[in-house]
Amino acid sequence: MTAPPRHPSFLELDRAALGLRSAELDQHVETCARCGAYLARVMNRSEPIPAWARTPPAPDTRVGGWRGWLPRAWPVLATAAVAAVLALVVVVPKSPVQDGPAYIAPKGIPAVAVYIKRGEQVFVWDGQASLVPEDLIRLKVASQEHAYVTVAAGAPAWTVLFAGPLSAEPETALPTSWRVDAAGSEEVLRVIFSTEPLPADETVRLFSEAPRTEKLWTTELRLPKSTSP
Amino acid sequence: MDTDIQSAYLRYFPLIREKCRRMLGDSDEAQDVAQETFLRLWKSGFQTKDPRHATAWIYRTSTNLAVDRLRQRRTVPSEVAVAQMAVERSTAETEVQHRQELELYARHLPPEALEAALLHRLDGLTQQEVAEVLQMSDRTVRRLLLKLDAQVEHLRRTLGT
Repeated sequence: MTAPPRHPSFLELDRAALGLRSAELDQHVETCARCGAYLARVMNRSEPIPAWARTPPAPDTRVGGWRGWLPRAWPVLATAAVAAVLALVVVVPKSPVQDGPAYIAPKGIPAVAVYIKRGEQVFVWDGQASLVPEDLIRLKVASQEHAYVTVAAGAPAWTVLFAGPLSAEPETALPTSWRVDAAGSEEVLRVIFSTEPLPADETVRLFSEAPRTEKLWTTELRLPKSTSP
Repeated sequence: MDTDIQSAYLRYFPLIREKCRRMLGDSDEAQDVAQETFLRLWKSGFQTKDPRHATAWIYRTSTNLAVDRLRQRRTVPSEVAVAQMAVERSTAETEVQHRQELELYARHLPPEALEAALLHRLDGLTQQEVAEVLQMSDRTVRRLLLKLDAQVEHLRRTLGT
């Protein structure tokens, strides 16, 4: 009777998957179904790449554990949602061609809601409140007429922060949040809803033009910033 | 690190995801931590292709993030999740037991000791490997694990679980 073989640690297996192999480990993997199956899983390089990993995040953004804080804030957000439904309106940030504050529009128009996480507190942007450095902002979008959403910042040289399909749900919470820095007096974001993904070579132009056509709809967010809440 | 994010994803994400599932089960939370670990790796401008450095960084960061999540939990792990884990890997009974216990007591235990325990008991790292990943001495790792065992035993008695 022989002693059961000692499995290598997962660290050792992961290193092997990245190319750091030893004869001893190779020998073990050949005869161990468990370790062989694990290596096959982590070396599978053919899986589809999700939308969030197709576009590199901008260097000045940091992604937080968005699904971590949003559920904890759910009672507050649910109350806000009920209030919005009762009023039969959705708050839509101002359009690029209007100068007034956030306005109220009927349902059906693509809508963007901004959630702000400040410390442990999460609240919906009311169209006027100022951001402060280190706030995390995250968007929830909705459109009945479009299938894709693209978000960009950094006018006039627009940088895409997110691009991906809308979910089948009535609202899509974008899987990325952005941390507010101390630079400038406002954050300007543009959100383009489209029926098809935006062509890469036309993205910057489209964000500059902020089109509102049958197939493309642009919403602009201008979020003022201050140094204290 | 690979020069484009998609190549980096294919190279690193599968092992990051497996690591997070071992710590947090097959859950949305594990997916979140995996995603955050990968994006941090990407944004750190990580240039090395050395598997030794890359994996140490990934293990350190993902374990740190998972410990934060475990300490925030207010509920005990579901029996269903535990049962699924047990079916998934026939040799994983002790692993499941360790994870369940760590989840139960996470809020009461020091983060550093939890990190060492996750790496040693769930990932099967030797104490020397844990020391390498956490950038501490073997002796400190041994001390942390011994202390953690004593604390868990104390919690078992005081919380009556």
